[in-house]
Amino acid sequence: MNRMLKYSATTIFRMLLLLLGVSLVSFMLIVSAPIDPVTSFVGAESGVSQEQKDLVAQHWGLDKPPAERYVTWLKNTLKGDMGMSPTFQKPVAAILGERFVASLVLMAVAWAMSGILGFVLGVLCGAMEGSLFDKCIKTFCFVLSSTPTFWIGLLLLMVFAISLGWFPIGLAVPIGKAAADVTIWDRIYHLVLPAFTLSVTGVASIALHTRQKMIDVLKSDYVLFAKARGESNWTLIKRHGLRNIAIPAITLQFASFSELFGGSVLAENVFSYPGLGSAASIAGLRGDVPLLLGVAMFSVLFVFIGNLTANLLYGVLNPQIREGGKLR
Amino acid sequence: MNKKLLSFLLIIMLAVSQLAGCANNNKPNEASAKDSLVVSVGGLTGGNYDPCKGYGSNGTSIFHTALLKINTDVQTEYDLATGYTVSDDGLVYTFTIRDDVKFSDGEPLTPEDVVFTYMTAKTSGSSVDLTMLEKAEVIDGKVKFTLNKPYSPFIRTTALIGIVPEHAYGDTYAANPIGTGPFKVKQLDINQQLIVEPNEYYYGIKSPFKQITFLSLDEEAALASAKSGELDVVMVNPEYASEEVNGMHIVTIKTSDNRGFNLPTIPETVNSSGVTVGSNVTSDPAVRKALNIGISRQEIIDNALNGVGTPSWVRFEGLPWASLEPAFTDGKVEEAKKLLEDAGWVDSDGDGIREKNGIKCEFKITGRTDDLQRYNLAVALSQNAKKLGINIVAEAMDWASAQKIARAVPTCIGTGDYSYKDVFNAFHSSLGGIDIVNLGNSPMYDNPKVDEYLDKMIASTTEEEAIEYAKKAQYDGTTGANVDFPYLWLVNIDHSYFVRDGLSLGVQRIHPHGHGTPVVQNLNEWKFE
Repeated sequence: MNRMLKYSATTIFRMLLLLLGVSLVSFMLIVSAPIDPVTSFVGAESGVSQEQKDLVAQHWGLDKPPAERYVTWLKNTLKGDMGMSPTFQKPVAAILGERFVASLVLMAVAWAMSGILGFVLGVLCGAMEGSLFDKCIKTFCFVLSSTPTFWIGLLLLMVFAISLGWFPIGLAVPIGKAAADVTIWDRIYHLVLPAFTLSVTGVASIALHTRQKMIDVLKSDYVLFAKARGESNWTLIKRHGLRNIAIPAITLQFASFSELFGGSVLAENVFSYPGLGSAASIAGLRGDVPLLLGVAMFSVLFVFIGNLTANLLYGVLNPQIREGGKLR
Repeated sequence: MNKKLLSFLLIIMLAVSQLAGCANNNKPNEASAKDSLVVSVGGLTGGNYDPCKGYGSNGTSIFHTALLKINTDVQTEYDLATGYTVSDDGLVYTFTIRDDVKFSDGEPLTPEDVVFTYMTAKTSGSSVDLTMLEKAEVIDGKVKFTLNKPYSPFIRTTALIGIVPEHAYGDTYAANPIGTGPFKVKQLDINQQLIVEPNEYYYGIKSPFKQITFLSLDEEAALASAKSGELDVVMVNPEYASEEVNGMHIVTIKTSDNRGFNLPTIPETVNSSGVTVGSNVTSDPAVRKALNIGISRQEIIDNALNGVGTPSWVRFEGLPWASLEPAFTDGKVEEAKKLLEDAGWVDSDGDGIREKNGIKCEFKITGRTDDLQRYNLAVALSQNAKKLGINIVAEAMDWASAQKIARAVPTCIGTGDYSYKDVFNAFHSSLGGIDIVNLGNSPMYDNPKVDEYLDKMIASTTEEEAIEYAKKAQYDGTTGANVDFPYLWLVNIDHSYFVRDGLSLGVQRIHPHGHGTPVVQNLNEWKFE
């Protein structure tokens, strides 16, 4: 129990350190970018007078030196106030909240889809190494993993939404439909293409890693021994394969939180799906410091939690790690 | 995202999908029956519909009306106001307000609402510029604005700030605006869609549609979405204007959205930050004039914009304060060459580029990286200037950096809104300092006579008088910006939209700077014919 407590404390300390570091680096990057936030706010060609620009700078605290701005931001954030976004003229926390809700379903579905599909394909390919099925899936995975997400998205959009007309061209809800009339089926219908797009790259890496591990396991001595005892193929995989091959799959699956986050930026843009991704790019392009820091903090938390979950699950899956006490 | 790459891929894929013949698309959509529309013209779904924070300041609010309005001739006209007076010193503007107008929640509009709007906007820290306004107050049922300096463009400002209700203004106002305009929000799914319906209390022309839905699809995907048949009006880039979409036709609308380059009028000099500004080439008036008359604007438009656009050599082309005097035609290569030779620019080493006193007649220009049109214009200009013996090197540069160095390296500027204060911004020497870093008078143009006219323009008490002076600043018969050429204007961009056959967009006022949303300026007048 004591060990558990110590582990938790270290983890939380690390996370705080990471948050601090990331926020500082993000802040320095955006401040040193050649973007004048006031100009990007009022528009370079808007003919707004210098007096008004000074007022805008003053209103948003942009006239103060960077160090002071960062410290102010840090203090307010510790108090739970993440500031106002000049671009959206709303509190950052509110923007993150509404955008995360939109992205959450998308990411969750894509994540589950890539995990399950990737694992099943990997296991099957590994079990049938060298077969036509294996070769097809392997090639398919290579193609997928070397393809950028947004390109796949566009391709799916062209084929399934525009040429075939099976799926909507974008958005998370039907065009022009009142919120009260939107059914769960409408939402699922709109989720299919973006979620599939987002899951595609994950599928490839998980399938390939699982396949390799499966092959290794099947070539091991203990499987040979089991075979000699007369175990059938499927029982063999169930008894000796799954636990072993789950480790790389789970690592990848939870480590893919970062890719998921990055991929959602692209997938959301292609499908006009409103989420955190577009908020991040808008914030970066317009020098919106509070919003960018907010998104950065959020993504750090998100990825950190993903990796932590993977670490904890190792212990559950593999008693060696658990009993060795080397929870890391 | 890399938009250039994206649009390139999109084009490739369009081509592929058409070659493959999988074209059972383009079914005219029956669902877009006559009582609703779906429109994608960019923007509009962000939930920022607060005039006090800048919404509608380009004259295109669909939720609000202002004291005055800008009519299809870009003149001001009474809207919520029934009349106004200006004091002789130009400091006090007094408006009488209609007493029969209701907000979309049924509450009447009062003069107090007007005062509330202006005082809120003044302190909102947004792009609404009311620095000239000292105070606004209600006196005898009239609204009295007191300015801290004479400022005649204030009248334009009153046509561009929509009035908000004091009783219903709060934190959530921006997403659910209550106004006196022709529409109100029915539903907003932020960054996805905005559904509007007619405001039953609106006092003007009522829309025949029960609801209109706005989407903000990526500009690059606009054409693709038009082909899906789900949309009734779609903004497209001129590159795609020659495409065909079943059941839709292309509507091209004239704009005052012009593109051109600033030409630094002073020789190279170092400013107080140690940055070199000015140019030893463009500071020669002969070079600026030769460029203006020697290039062929139509050729540039054909090369850079697929021929979509209107050649233009003044900044305000299409607006009431533009002066086209003294008129000239461009493409006069021989005359331009002679001008350059008389000024001492001669190609003595035979490399096709002129020299004078050891200085080559060459300079760099930039086109912003996130706007392909501007880069294309820069390249086309560079090619067109070669025949004059002037070597212009066109580069792509990110917008922030391009602005920063614009006082040394001309960049492609876009401008053209509904206020003539832009004439002041373009030419007044007070904005032309070598230490200033922005695009106002970036050629650092300084002509005392022009300054005098511009000062008089600002001090005028009527619009007619102000516009008269604005025109004189451009050319008064002997001098002015139109003969000094601090800029090289090329083209007024045309705005293109795919529109459902049978749908009429009414009479559109010339569009201001910014493609997309200006088309909704008269949304209540759209109808099927």
